[in-house]
Amino acid sequence: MRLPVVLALLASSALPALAQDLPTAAAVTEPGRSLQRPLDLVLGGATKDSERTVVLVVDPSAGLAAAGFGDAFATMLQQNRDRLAKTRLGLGVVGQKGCLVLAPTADHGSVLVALRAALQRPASEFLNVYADLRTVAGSFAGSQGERVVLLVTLENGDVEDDVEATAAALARAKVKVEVLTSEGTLADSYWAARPYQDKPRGTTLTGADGAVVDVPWGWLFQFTTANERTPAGFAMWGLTRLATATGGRVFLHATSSQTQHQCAVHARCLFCTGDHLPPDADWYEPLVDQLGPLAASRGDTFAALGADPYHRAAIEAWRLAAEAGLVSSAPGVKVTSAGAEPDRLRPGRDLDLTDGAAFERHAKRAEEAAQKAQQLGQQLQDKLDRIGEGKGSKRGEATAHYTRVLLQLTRVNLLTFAAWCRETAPALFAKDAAAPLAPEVPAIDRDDRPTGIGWSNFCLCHGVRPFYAVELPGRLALRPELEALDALYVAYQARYGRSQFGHLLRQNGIAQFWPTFPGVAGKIPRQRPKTAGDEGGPITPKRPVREGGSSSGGSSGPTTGGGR
Amino acid sequence: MNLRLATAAVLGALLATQLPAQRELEALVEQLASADAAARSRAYTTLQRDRPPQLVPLLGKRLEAMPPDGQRLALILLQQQPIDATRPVYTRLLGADRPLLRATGAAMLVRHGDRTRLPVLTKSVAEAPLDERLPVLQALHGIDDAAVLDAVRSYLAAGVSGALAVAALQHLRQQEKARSATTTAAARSLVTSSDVDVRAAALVWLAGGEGAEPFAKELAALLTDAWPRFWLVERLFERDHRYPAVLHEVFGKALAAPRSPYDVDTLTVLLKAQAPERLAPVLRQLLAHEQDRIRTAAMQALAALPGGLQPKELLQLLQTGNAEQQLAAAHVLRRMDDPAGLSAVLSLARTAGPHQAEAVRVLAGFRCRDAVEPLLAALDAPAVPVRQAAWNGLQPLLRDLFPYRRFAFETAGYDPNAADRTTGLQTLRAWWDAVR
Repeated sequence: MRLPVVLALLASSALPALAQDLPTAAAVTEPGRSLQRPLDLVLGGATKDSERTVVLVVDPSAGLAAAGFGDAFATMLQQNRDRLAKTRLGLGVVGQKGCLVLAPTADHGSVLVALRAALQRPASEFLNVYADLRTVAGSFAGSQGERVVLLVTLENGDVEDDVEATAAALARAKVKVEVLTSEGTLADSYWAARPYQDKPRGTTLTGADGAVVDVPWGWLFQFTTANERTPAGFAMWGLTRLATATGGRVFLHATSSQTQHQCAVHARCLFCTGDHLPPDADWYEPLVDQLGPLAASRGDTFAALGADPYHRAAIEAWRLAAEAGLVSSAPGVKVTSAGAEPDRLRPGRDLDLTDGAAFERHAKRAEEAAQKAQQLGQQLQDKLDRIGEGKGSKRGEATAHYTRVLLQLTRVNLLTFAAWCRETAPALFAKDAAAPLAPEVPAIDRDDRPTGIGWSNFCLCHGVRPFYAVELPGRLALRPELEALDALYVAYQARYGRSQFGHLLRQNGIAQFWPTFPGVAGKIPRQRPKTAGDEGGPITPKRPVREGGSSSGGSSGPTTGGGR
Repeated sequence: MNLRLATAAVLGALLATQLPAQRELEALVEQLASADAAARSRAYTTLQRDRPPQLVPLLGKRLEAMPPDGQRLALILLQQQPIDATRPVYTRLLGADRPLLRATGAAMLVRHGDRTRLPVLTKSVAEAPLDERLPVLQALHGIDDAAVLDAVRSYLAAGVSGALAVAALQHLRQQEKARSATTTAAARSLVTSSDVDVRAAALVWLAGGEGAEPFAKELAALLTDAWPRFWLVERLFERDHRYPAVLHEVFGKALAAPRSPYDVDTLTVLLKAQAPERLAPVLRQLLAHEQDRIRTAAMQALAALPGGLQPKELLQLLQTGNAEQQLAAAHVLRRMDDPAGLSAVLSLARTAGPHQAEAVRVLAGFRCRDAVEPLLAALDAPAVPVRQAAWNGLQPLLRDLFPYRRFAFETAGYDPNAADRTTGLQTLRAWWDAVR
């Protein structure tokens, strides 16, 4: 037997046991989205006769102040006065020098006053929560009884700084970390797609619900990335990891205004006027938990991914899709015969389909890419069919099936594009074209030559079948491809519809194309070199506003609302 | 001389045509003052429909001498006339005997910018006898003045009736930006009233303010013992205010026993703001209500709730044979991506009758080609609302079914309100025949 085969067999026989033993985020994530419940459970969970020290570490964002955290804390103090009799409370403010602004004290009123003062000065910078937690770990020296940090951070869980060292420091100090934070995004690729973003020294911007972005992102002809908009049902991995490693819990917070259904954010819905009641709107909690990410260390997560046949198949398909130009990102994971390891983030191949007006050339390239998508889809399907029952993780399986559907969706979009290039676009510029019958008017009313092709999406929130009635380029030739997509979509949603993975697929869409023309540009100001008189930038860069899936428009990402 | 004669002849002829109309008007005004309620009502209906400008001086002359019921109707008729014509009448009313007349006159003048009349208004409100206070309050809407509000607060004293207490508190709640301490104090003074209705009204006010819990408990107990009082004070509950949880059961009980579809609508809004988890079970009970219109209102309210109706229940409603319920169920099913109601909607959209316009509106929500033909047919329906619904629905439907085409619907030359719609219809049909 050849050595790689032996190694592969060894790896596949040893590692699944490891994956099964690893904790998942579901084990530490509490239900509900209120502020009061975590405060009551964590702070009011004391017994009145036992000594306890709790340090409230607050990341004072505007969102936290607006959510009424100060009032919720005051209510908790009032309602749990007896239970807190032997609890010493301290206050740390993330971003303040030394973090701890009030050492643990029995005077709980002074904590409330200091908290309200901190919330009056909300921070909008990236803040390193992890470094401050390591500092706070040292403040428990000599304290009696149970030691707890209640970390309240709605926004900065994604500014990662040595999570394992932080967890180890807190565990050494016998401090349990309870976390109140906002919901993360499923396999969030936001910062992976923006590597140029300034960040505090020594940190990495991440933010996915798992240690690794394990779901392909940046699919061709998807205007928005579903990974940036899909609520995960869990917190960002770094925070979940801290709670897991120290025996704590994670509480998620969302305001009720963030729960309104919206078919799509930057896509057009052809099938409703904002009144959609998706049958899969209510998530099924056990399914969400099954599909939750690992809460293990990043190293253990890589090992588990490498041992998971579904993840291996999905990552391999992702890599090949990137090479074929079907995905703008290559996976940040490399699967080897021995497992998986981190890989440098690389962009996928650029098919150069939308620059210029060489419609025939574009059509040909798109058809070749569509052929490749079909081939990769079939290869992936063959692999999935060969994986035995009960092998691999549920999340890996969902990821692989999602990849399968997206390969077919990308094929549909490429074929639509090719048909548009061959039929629709030339007709738009044909000199002898007959005027359309009223009430239709020419789709474009200018004579100059287009400079490229623009596109957007029709959302898939209502499924694929309604598109049968819609006049798309390719018409009859496209129909079998839509039917194939519908079959995959229906099977996928039947299984994952009421979970974060069902939501993920619905965030994608069928592409629409149009010619673009040169814009009227103003005079571009000349870039001048920096002068000595320039003011220096802030030490910690400002957090840009991120348009998440939430209706709040804040930077804290999406939410599934009142329950997972 | 000839010219004078001619002018006199024209004037005479004019008078001859106008005199019968004038006499008829005078007779109607007399009937307005009649002791016969049916005659009063007939006269009022005619005058309210025609609103002749000559009515103003006639009413001005007769108003003060009319019996109270006639005065009430006359004041309504006056308020339907332009202020420039009625201002002298209102000014004369400032000297009337009855405080109601003085208050109404002053209120109309103040509302139209003459705030020098506020002292008269305040005095009239304060002097109004018990039996005139309710109509006085009705005359005060929109008047924001501290002295007038003080006069209204003076009504909240011993001897006030339940209906008056409710009306006064409702008026004060609308005018006060926040619950004032003075009104709260007045409400507190009524909590010990021997009149249960008055007590209920005061408790509703107090249950919406600071330290609401004990008042809410007392109110819940009072309403449990004397349930019909709820409907007296129902309008005092604010839709966007959060009341103590003890009252949620009261709201649920009220919703479970509505008197009309209106109750279903208002209490749904109230309960949704208070305890949304209680709403669906109560509305679900109402689906079996004996009154058809209440069942429909409950179904429509349930349908508006996420997950309020299950597809199985909606499919059953499609089979009821009740057009309103079928349309509502089909609409909700469509929103849930289930086109099961389409055939029922297609059938109703093709049938002339009271539900055709709604059927056409619901049909336009279905983004499918089967909807286009019936909508084109409805563009030529005899009823204007049906044609308007079809025209408003067809445009977005075609834009969504043909997203690569650009439309300028005005070029079709169709107008749902036009008498002759032939050309527009032919144009639209020709286009559809070419692309279908």
